[in-house]
Amino acid sequence: MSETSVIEIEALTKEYGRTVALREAALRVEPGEIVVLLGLSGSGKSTLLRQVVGLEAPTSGRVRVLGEEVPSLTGRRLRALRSRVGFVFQQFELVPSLTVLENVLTGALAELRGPRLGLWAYPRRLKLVALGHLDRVGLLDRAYQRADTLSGGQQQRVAIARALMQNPEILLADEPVASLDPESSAQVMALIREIAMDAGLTVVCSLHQVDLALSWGDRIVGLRHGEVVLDTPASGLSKAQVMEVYGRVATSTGELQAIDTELASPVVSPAVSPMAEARSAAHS
Amino acid sequence: MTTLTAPLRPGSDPGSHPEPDVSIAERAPKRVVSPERIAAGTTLVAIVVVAIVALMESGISITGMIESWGHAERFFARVGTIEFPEFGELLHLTGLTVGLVLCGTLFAAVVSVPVAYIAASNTTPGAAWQAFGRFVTVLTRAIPDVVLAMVFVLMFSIGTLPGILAIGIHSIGMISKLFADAIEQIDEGPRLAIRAAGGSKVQEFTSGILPQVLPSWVATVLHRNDINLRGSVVLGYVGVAGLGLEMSYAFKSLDYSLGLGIALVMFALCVVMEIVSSVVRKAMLGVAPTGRGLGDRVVQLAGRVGARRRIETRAANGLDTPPSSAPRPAAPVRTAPAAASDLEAALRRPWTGARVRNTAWGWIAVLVVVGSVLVCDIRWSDLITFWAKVPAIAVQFWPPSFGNYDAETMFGAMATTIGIALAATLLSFVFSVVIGSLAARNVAPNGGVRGSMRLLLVIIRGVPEVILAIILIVITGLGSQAGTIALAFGGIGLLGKLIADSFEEVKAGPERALRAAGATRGQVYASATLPQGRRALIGHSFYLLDTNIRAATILGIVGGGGVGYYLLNAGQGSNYAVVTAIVLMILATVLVVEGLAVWMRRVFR
Ligand SMILES: Nc1ncnc2c1ncn2[C@@H]1O[C@H](COP(=O)(O)OP(=O)(O)OP(=O)(O)O)[C@@H](O)[C@H]1O
Ligand SMILES: [Mg+2]
Repeated sequence: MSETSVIEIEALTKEYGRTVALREAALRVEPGEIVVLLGLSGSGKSTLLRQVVGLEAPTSGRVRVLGEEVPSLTGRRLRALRSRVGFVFQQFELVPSLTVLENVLTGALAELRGPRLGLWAYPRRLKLVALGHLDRVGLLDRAYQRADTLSGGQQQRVAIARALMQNPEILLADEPVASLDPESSAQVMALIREIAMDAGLTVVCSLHQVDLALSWGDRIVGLRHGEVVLDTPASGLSKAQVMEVYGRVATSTGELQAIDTELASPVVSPAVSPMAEARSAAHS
Repeated sequence: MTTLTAPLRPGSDPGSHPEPDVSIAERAPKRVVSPERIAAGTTLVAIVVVAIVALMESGISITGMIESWGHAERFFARVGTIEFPEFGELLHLTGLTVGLVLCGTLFAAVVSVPVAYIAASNTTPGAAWQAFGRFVTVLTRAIPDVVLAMVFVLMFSIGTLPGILAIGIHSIGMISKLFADAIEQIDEGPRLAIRAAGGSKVQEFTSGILPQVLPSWVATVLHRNDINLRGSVVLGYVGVAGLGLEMSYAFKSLDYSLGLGIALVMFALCVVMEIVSSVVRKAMLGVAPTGRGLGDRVVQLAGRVGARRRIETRAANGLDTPPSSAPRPAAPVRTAPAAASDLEAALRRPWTGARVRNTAWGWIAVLVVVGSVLVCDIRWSDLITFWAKVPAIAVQFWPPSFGNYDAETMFGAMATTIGIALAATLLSFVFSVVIGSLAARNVAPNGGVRGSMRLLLVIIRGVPEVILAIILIVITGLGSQAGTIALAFGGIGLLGKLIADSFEEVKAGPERALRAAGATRGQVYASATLPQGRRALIGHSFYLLDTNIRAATILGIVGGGGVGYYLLNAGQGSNYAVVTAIVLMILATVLVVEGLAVWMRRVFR
């Protein structure tokens, strides 16, 4: 076992009733790596990311993050670990009725202790830091606007600023651009990469779009039915190889194109795609 | 599908259906109705039958009504002029009533926060906590505030504290229930995000939940405050200071001119309070009221007048950003980092119009709270001396007994009360379905009908039932008949509005589909609107029944017949064991109704 890995997952299994969301999954991430999780809807990407910050208990297996055994942590120690890992959600998950600045400040709650309500409840020092992060994501001028008055792309950037507020060592992103249009997507992905490079962050990001994954990540990890079926550096990986993650071997360029468009189509809700549904039906 | 793809058979009449395949009837699965549904349906029919019997027993008839009209004319001729208390006195009484109601509601709101937190399924620390929270909710709702007031009047030296505590404790039930509902309806995402960032439970609540539920919580508290003001009249009958007490004195000493004067003041106060709550809701939350209460109407009107000015301010404040889904060109994320001094400057939050307004309203709220506490002139020492008296009085309440009355009289009285509630609910239901449906935008044939029906509901809602009942009783001495009419009348205002609102909320798609298929207005109503609104209809009707049982008790206290009369007698005659027995009967009834309501709502989903 390497001393340097920031995330070490071994034989991780997670069941929801009869559904097996993760099956003996293994993953090891080194500091500073930028890893992309690829996989169809329902393949277990979100489940895996939730395990990393202990939002759910595993059925079996080991999850070691930043030197801590996550499933064994509780209370303050669990919260302390979580505060070292930033999490960016597909649906942004900002509090709609709060200002942008206060939303960013909620990222610092773990360090503050005790309830905070209203901007005045946060120390001036943190407010300055938060404003700095807002500036970093290009939204300084929106600081005092309500979060729900921003566009989707802007909201996701606020969510990134909130994650930065934790001063994280690891940044997890669960399909951060799945609800965004292509232009905002490119912007948000570029921003995440830029920030990660600047701060030397380790990033694990789940994605749907194969092209984006190949050009953006350093390493691609493919999930299928909760199993890790692919784990290679992104450079030199061909699209056809990646497509196998999706359980299809493309035989012609036309078919490749078809799968591609299917995957590129924006997924608004994390509903199971008809393709995955058909397959899981065949399984049972 | 098949009709779309099948080629049109030549020669077949396009209007007629193809010959049905006989075997399909055999192949089709048989319809199964679950036994639970049958049981629930039967129970529902039984309740309706009992309500019809109760209505016929109550002796409400057209001839009776005409007769009482004659009584009323003679009565008003005898009363002559309406008198008011002298101005300073009136001001003091009004302040006292409002202050007392506000304090009680606020007390309930504060206590309701932890109760709601443990009772809501997504925040409760455990099943046992949740059960305890629900128990507190149901129990406090089931004990009428009048009963609490009667008890507290004994324990405290006369003052406002009995009223405040009675209103406060009784209101916890409804407020915490609605608070908990609001918590259960939040978007879990922001809360999850705070948890993922390492926030504690308390922080999850204050930063993730509270901002989401606050608007609904404020609305709940304001709504309850309106209800409490209406109910405060009755508290006067059991000795709580304020307008109600003066009114009861006036009527008891047959000074009808003064009694009616105070009733009028009370009525005006209710209307004013409704307007004020609507204004507050709008100002504090920045949300235009969607309701159609009298207050909401006034605010909407004022809003239309000031609309243009507001648009200008919004534009000036840069608040009119399009909603999040609006496409906007991708701006470059950032060019150069802001200097530290820029960040310093950004620390100062700009005083936008919205911020000024929020701050101003915040201070007004604080002043009102402080003011009402001062007006009430609470004897805080009572809160300490009170405990010394508890044991001595508490023992008198237990064990429950019917005292000098025989069980038959008491159960009979309880049956009368239930009968009044059932009959009133049935009457309200029949009128409300008609008026409420016609007041719904998607049912009313035109805007004129809808508008006039809404207005009718507003007018009905403006009249506090208790005052209506008192006046009916004073005028005609109708007893349980007066109670039924008063409750039924008030019920139309509530149920009609709820029905209209929930019918307007049904999905428009099915209605459009039926209309497109050539259905008439009546068919659309019966096949699309009603089925979608059915669950709400049943839920609201049981809610009304639930309220009416408590209200029927209260009307008994002011002379409306039923168990309330015995309750007042027992209280005033210091027969506390009887009070306990009656309260237990009411409690049992309310719990049964509550259980039935939950069951019906689940079965008729
Ligand atoms: N809380 C839960 N309860 C029950 N089943 C769940 C739960 N969360 C996930 N699952 C199931 O686990 C499997 C993996 O889900 P997961 O959300 O991890 O997929 P995903 O790869 O993130 O999909 P998507 O791309 O749509 O977000 C799915 O079959 C899903 O139905
Ligand atoms: Mg997912």
